[in-house]
Amino acid sequence: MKLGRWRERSPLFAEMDDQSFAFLESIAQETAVRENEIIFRVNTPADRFYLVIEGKISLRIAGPSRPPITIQTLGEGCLLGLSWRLPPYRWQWTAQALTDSKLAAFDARTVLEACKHNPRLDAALWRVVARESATRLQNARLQLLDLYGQE
Amino acid sequence: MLPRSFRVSERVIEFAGTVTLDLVPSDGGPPITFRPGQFAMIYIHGVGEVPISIAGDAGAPGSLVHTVRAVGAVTNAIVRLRPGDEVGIRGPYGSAWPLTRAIDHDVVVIAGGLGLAPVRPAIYHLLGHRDAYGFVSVAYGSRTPADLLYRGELHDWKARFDTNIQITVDHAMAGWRGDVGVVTPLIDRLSFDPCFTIAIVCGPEIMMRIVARDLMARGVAAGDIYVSLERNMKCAIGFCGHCQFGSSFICKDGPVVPYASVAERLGMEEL
Repeated sequence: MKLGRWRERSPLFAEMDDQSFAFLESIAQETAVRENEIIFRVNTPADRFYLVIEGKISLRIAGPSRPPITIQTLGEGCLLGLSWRLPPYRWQWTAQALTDSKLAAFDARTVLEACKHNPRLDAALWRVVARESATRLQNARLQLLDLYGQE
Repeated sequence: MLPRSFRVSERVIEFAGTVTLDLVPSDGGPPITFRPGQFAMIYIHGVGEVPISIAGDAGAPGSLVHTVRAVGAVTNAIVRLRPGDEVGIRGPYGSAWPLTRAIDHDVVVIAGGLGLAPVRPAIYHLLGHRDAYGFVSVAYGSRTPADLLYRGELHDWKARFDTNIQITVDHAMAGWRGDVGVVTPLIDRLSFDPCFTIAIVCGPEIMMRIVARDLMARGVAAGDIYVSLERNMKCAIGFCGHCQFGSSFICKDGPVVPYASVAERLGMEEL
C-alpha cells in the first residue's frame, strides 16, 4: 500500500529512515471499516496496529452499570493502537469507527520480528510509541483537571 | 464610574447555570459600542458588580450581550435575571482582539469552555469581513456535549465552506459523534501559515499556556498569539489594584494581551 503522502503528515513515520519506512509500506494493508464497526475489542490480543487514512475512530471503554464512554477520538494521520508494542499485548480499549473509515493495517508479529533484525526500525517505533504515550498521558491529565468545569 | 441603567430584553439558557442575556439601555441613552474582546461591569443592585466579557456582535450595536455562568453571589443573581429586570452597566473597558492587525493574515481562534463567549465578537467580525482575512479557523473545546455554548451558531459556522470549525469535548457518552479529547490536537487540523497568522485564544489559563506552546511549536510567534486574561477585577479602570498581574493591571492593560508579554508571568506559581 502506498503511504508516501503520510511520510510527513503522520507521527508514525516521523524521523523514520527510508528503509524502515519502505518495510512498513510493504506490509501495510488497506482496510475499510464501516460506520459503527468495531475494529478491536478491549482485552483481546493486540496483534495489529493502524494508521488512520480517512475517517474518525473512537476509543471507548464500558464501565459497570453505565453505557460505554469514549475517551478519545483519532482522525487522519493518527496512530491507532499502542498495546501491540508492550506485554501483555492486549487491547486496553475498544476501537469503533464513528464514520466510514480507511485504515492502513500493520501485522504486529511481522513488525516485531523485523524489529529484532532492524535496530533502527525498532528504535523508531519505540520513539513513536513513547511519544504517543506521553502525549496521550498529558492530554488525559488535562482532561482529569476538568478545566472547563472549574471556571 | 456611575453605572447606566439597562434592562434585560432576552434571556437564553445555554445549559444549566449558564445564560446569555441581551441588555438594552433603559436610561434613554445611546446603546453601548464596543470592540471585540472588551468587557463591561454588570452591577446587580444590592448584591455587587462583576466584569463580564461582551459576547455580542460589535457590528450590530443596540443591545449588549453577555454570557454568564453562576459561580458566585453576583453571577448567581445575574443568571436568575428575567426579561424586564434592571441592571447597572459600566463600560466597555479593556483592550480588544487585534482584528485590524490580523487583516490579510490567517486567523486561528481557539477557545475552551466559556472562553468562547469573549471570542464570539471576534468570530462575528471575521465572518462579517471574510474577504479581509486569509484562512479562518476556530477550534473549540468543551467539557461535555451538553456544555457546548451557542450550539445553533456553531452548527451554522460549521456549515460554511470558507471557515474551518473544529469542536471537541473532554467527555462524551454514547451518541456523540464528534471528537473527544483536549483542544490542542485540533491545532494540527487547522490550515494556517505560521509566519502570517494571528492567534486569538481564550479559556482557562492552563489551556491557553498549552495552546500557546503548541502554536509556537507550529511556528507561530509568541507576539502573534493573543490571550484574554481573567483576574479578580473590581474597579475596571486601574485604581483599586485587585487585578494587578506583576507590572500591569488586567482591567486597564488587558484583558487581551500578546502572549509574549505575559508568558513568563503565566508560568509563575501563585501569581
